[in-house]
Amino acid sequence: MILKDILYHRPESIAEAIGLSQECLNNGQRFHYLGGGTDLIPNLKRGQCDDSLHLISLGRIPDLKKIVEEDGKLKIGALRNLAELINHPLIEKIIPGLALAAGKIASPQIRSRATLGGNLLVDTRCVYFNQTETIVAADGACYKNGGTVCHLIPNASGKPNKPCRARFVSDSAAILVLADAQLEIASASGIRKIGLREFYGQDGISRNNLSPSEIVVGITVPLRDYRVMTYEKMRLRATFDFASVGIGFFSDGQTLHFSVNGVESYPLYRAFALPKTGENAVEGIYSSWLQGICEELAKNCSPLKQDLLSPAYRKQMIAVLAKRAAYKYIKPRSLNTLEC
Amino acid sequence: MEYNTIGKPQPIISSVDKVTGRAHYTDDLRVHNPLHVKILRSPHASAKIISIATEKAMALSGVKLILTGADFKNTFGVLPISKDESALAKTVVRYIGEPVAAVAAESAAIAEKALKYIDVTYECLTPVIDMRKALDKTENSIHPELKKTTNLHKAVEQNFGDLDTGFKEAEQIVDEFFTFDAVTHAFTEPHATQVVLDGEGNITVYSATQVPYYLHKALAEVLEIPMHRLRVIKPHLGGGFGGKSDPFPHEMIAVKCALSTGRNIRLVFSREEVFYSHHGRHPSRINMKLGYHPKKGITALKGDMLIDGGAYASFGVVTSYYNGVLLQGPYELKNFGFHCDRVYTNKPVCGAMRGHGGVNPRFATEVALDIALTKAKIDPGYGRLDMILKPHSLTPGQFRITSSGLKQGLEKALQSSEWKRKYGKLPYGKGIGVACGFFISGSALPIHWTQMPQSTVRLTIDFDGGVTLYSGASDIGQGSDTMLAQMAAEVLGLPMKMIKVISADTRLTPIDYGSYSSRVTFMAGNAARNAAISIRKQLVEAACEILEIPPPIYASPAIPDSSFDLGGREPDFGNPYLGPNPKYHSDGFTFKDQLITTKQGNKSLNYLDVVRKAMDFQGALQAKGVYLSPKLGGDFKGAGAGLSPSYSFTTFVSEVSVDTETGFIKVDKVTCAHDCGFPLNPLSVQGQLEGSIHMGLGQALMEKMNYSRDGVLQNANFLDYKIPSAFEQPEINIVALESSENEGPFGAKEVGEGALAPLSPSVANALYDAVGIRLTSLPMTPDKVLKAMQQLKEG
Amino acid sequence: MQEQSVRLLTLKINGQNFSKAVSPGMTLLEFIREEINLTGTKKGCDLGECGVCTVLADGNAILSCITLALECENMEITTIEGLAQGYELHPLQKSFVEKGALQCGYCTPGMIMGAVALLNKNPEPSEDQIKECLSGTICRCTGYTKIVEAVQDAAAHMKK
Repeated sequence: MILKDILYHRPESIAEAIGLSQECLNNGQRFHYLGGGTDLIPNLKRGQCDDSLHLISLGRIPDLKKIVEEDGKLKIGALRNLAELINHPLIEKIIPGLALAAGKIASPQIRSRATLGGNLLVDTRCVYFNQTETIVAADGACYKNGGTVCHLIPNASGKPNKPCRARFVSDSAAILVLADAQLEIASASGIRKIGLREFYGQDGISRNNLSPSEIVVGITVPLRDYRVMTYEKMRLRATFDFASVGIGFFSDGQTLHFSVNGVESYPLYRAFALPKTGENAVEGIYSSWLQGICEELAKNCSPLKQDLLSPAYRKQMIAVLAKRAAYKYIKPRSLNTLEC
Repeated sequence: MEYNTIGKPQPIISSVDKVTGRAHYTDDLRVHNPLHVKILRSPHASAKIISIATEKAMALSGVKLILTGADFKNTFGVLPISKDESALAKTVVRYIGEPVAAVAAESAAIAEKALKYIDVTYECLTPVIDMRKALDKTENSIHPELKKTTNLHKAVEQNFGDLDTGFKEAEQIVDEFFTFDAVTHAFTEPHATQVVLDGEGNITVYSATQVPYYLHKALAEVLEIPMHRLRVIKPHLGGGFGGKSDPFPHEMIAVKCALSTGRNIRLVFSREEVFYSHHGRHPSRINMKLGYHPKKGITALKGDMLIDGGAYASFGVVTSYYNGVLLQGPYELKNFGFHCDRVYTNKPVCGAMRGHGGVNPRFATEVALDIALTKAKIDPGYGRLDMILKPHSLTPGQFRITSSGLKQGLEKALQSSEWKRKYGKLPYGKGIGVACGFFISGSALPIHWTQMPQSTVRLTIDFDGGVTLYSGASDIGQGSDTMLAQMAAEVLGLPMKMIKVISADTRLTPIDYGSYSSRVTFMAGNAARNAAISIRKQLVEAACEILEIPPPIYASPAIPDSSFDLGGREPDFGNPYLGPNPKYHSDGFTFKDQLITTKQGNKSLNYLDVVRKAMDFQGALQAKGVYLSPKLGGDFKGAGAGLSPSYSFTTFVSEVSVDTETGFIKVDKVTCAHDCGFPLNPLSVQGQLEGSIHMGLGQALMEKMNYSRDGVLQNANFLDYKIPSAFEQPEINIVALESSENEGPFGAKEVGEGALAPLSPSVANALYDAVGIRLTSLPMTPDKVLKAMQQLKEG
Repeated sequence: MQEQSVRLLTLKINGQNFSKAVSPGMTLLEFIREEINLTGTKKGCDLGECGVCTVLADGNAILSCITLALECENMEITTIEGLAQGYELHPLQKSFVEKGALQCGYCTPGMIMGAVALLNKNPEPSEDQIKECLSGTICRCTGYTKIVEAVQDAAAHMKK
């Protein structure tokens, strides 16, 4: 798996990077921005992208790695690597749930190079897509691979626009959507901001609303009390594996926020306002209410056969893990506010 | 017994080279100006090859040669009776990944690129993927040369005693059906071969192989080269486990490329290609019927196995036998029978994998036995004690059981794990389970029917006093080089650093059949020990000359009392074969710390001085030692399968915690007793047990080759084929290792394979204790566990 | 834009400076093994899924098979060959040998380099922290048991 016909650029500024990508676009040449490369390089080796490719390395652009508390927000440079992010005092102080989730990504060596931006933009995955050329040829190329079928959804109607169900696998996104984080995106026209919850699309191919030469340069997290926040990652091994099901949970005292990772083609986000309880509230209201919303969460999800664990099981586990996440903090007998 | 080096922890002798990066594995060698070879593989599970157009590829700059099936006339296979593989597919392809063409080019990049320019036209056929379908009548069998009407490769049946009577005598009858997914060796070093030519037409083949001798013979046969022109060398090897124990297509291709181009050759697999090469454990469908009576033990055992061999034969005939015959232990059986069908399917080949054929049936038997014992309200741990094969007994199929430490091992494991306090008494979700097994220390009958010794070792000592040991045995990471050095070091009283081992080089080292079926310690170890004893005799004679005392009179070995007691006798110096594990201490001397001292202790000589004296008139000292299996077994069809000069015995007690909401099983602790006779090197023995537990755990919980319905392997990579990580390894407590074995070298038996099979059933039995479910299909993934728990709840 | 199909790479490997022209698609692993001929670092899967290719880049354990060589411009790379001081083994190398923490040895360079990075940053790691460090490299022979012991042993020795 030798990477041939790669053209490499190492711009020293965001403007230079964008300029390079625009030149590629104008010349009809394919390009990728390169962060840590831990997602891109394996995919390139499997031949998922054409050769004759421009790689625009962002790794040496200063100012893309800063982590600061500024203007009432936590600002994280998109090119900060996960290993450093996990141990950063500001992350620990403000949003330890992000360190928890990031610490479960892949393996220690991968976290040394993988970036937060890269993880938020990690490609969607499917057992039929993330395959070598021999297997893709044997199966027949799927839509995401530029072909004309979807093997995952039987009896696909053959319409080329059939939504791709390659699944979303970013653990860091599962936390940051709970925090209603924003992305800072640079382009030739300047910086735009977009909430993470709006950023992702529904489709495993189009994935998000990033335009080709745009660069995610930063992630902004509003300052709130994120102490009641956790991430449950279910996978067969406690390392390397992507989430078979990942549940993010956050409570701000009035609303329970959940995210589901590893199932749909985007991080599914749902918020449930805590029920107001009065004097006539029944004992155990929280436990049955909680059970209900966890099942509600699972109801909206339809795992497909993309994992060694069965789809029916993974659907069941959404509710189980959501409850487990919530019960880390919630004492169900409490009729008033949350005890943490 | 006070030993010099035996029984003491020895770091393996290549370990410093390995931790410094000095050790060269096959693809680390840098041969002069090689061509790089890459292989084009079939994207179809079953198809006719209509045409292969190579002109466009040949036209690429740097491409020197393209081979196709037409370039190979002869077929090969590890077993003489089933040589059904061609180096490149000839008229049909039989599995996705099968080699179809090979390119030799000036660089790997060019070779890889050229593959895309080769145009193969296929006519797709309907593949047979499900092993059950393989038994259907068909006009288009996968191997039409066998002239069969189905895709059955081999049917094996043996029956002993009277099963009907046996089942009638039973108080409990368990009749259960089990399924096992395909698993693969997954060693970290991909296959690699390099070929070096010299001007005289000599061909040196460096290859990651467990069987240099078989490879040498196969190359000569396939490529029609005189054997003396070939030399096969195994460099350091990064794991085999049976996945590098066949001669392979890529090895034939590499040598052919060298011969056709006159250039050296470098070939290395991608990880995906390793999965296509496979030769892993046969997925199986097993029905196990077991009759049990509290006073009689197992009254009847009947196994019906269907095993999926993939596209070619490999070791499959042996596997078919081992599926059944390895059920003859570790319990006493009177009425025992099995039937095993091996079928071909259009998937990568299945072959030998650690525990070879005995692993899946062992799971089935240990679970069935557990069910019977618990139904009969007998403790499954202590209840097994009365059923164990006694030492010095014969099994129904006439396996000669000599030593067995199973009884003590099982008792110690149950005691140490506090079985009595825990079994049936732990809180819901926690459980403890037990399983036992046994395995061969090498096959008594070799694959190639000759009267040649199973292993030959040569020793030389020259003026510097260093001992050079030559053995064909392949160190595949298990530490056999170290074991061989220990033999010489012990007998000659020398430090390990004075023993140099040269191994697995078919020009220099005498034949050893290879590292498979756990034969090396027992057989090459015995040969090395005998060589050391022979050279010791020469040193003793020289010492006597120096001391001007008469040389010792060597007694002839006494006639053994029975065939169970063949070892540990005086060496038979009148014959080239000294015998198994002979004594050597009655020569009147002690060899220790480079000193040769009379037994009375009054006269002590320096080892080097004795060497020099011994070299008078004859020059460098040499000795040869061999090992020959005793004649064993019965006269019926298949009697040879599973015959071994000695057997190991294993007990595992596994403790698990089950997450009752998710079905995830965590194996917290494994208590292990493995009778390896005597641990020659405790570090290596522990390492093998810990590694076996890891590999057994993988099959138990998470490993499976994930084939689609069309035979496409969906997880030919290390992310989706899940080998347990450091997080999954349980705490391990090894409690017993010994028994009184008299034929193994210093009493040693195997430890490489036997300890794999009982791990999965011990976990399955612990799962039953934890949450009351019996899983009968591997791997036991959490979704299967939870489903079974829910079904149990619903009644 | 400057289209370069070959670029000059300057970096340090085991303390020695190198300046070589490389094709941009070359990974650090290929550079180390094929251009510099340091074969101690192994290729197990070439896709970042097994960890046996682990080396240190500016002290951090990374997977050289999925890192482009050009990304390591001006970095200090340490491979397994760079650990020992002449014949004097690094404590981790010594402990691996003495504790029997290797069998076939193919994953060993990757395991050791990962452990070097750990002990340099955390000289007294807990057993869980050691397992986490090892969790990025697959071993098929040892079951990791003795590898954990070796890292604990080395940590104890390095403390002195």
